[in-house]
Amino acid sequence: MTENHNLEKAVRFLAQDNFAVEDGLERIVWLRHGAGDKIRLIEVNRNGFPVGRIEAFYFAPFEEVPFETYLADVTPEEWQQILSGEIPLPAGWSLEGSKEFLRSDFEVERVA
Amino acid sequence: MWPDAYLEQARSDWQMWQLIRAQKLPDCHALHYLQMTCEKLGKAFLIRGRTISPQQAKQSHVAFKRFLQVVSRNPMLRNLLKMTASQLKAHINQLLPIAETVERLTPALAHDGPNVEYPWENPNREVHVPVSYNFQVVHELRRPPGMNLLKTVDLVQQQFYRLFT
Repeated sequence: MTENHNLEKAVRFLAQDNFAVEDGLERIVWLRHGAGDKIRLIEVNRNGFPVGRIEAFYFAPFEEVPFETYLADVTPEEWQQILSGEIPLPAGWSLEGSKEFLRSDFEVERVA
Repeated sequence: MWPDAYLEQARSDWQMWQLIRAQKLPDCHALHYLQMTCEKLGKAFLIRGRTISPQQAKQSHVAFKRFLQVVSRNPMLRNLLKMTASQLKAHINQLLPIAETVERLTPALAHDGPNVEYPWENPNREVHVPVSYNFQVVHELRRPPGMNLLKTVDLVQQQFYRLFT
């Protein structure tokens, strides 16, 4: 199994898990370009707290996701501002080649 | 280095919270240290995320509440606490309102309202002083959601390196 395959598997695990846990999530964007073996995710969350910039939190590697993970929660409005360039991406982050996951991509059992 | 520095200060603030709350002193003093513990812990996690600088983190608001929202999606924390996804989500959800209340006790977020440092004037032009003010959050911290918030603040300090490095 290749490193890329393992990375994608881990991202899909996180995406499915996070959709199940947070019902405000509308989409999860996996920023792959230049990330190497790190996972960078922007999670668009209706229940998020707007801060007007991308502020990621870090999760340490663990068994199911053996990669460093950087997760930024943004509101749908902030996501539009990111797309328009009004909110810049952090240094080294790029939307080039990014992959989006929607709730409908998974058969998600919502967590109450 | 910077996250470690914020964690070190947060741990000392936490010790002060524990020390002062055991004394017969006005509530504002202990609450001040609890607010600073949460603020610095939230910022330690943000700086660890490497998308903002320590300077930018100083201006970031309600970082601890936002951290709690995100950490409920951390399967590793779930394993550590031996909770299911739904249990962790419910656990975190009950903490969010009181976590935000604590973080907003700082004058910068209190918007000329109740805070733990400076006197303020209410809409009836009555001036309140932190040392004599009856902070509702003190009572909330004695109820299960408040006690769980305190346990969580303690836990994330202890498990910081396991979860976040």
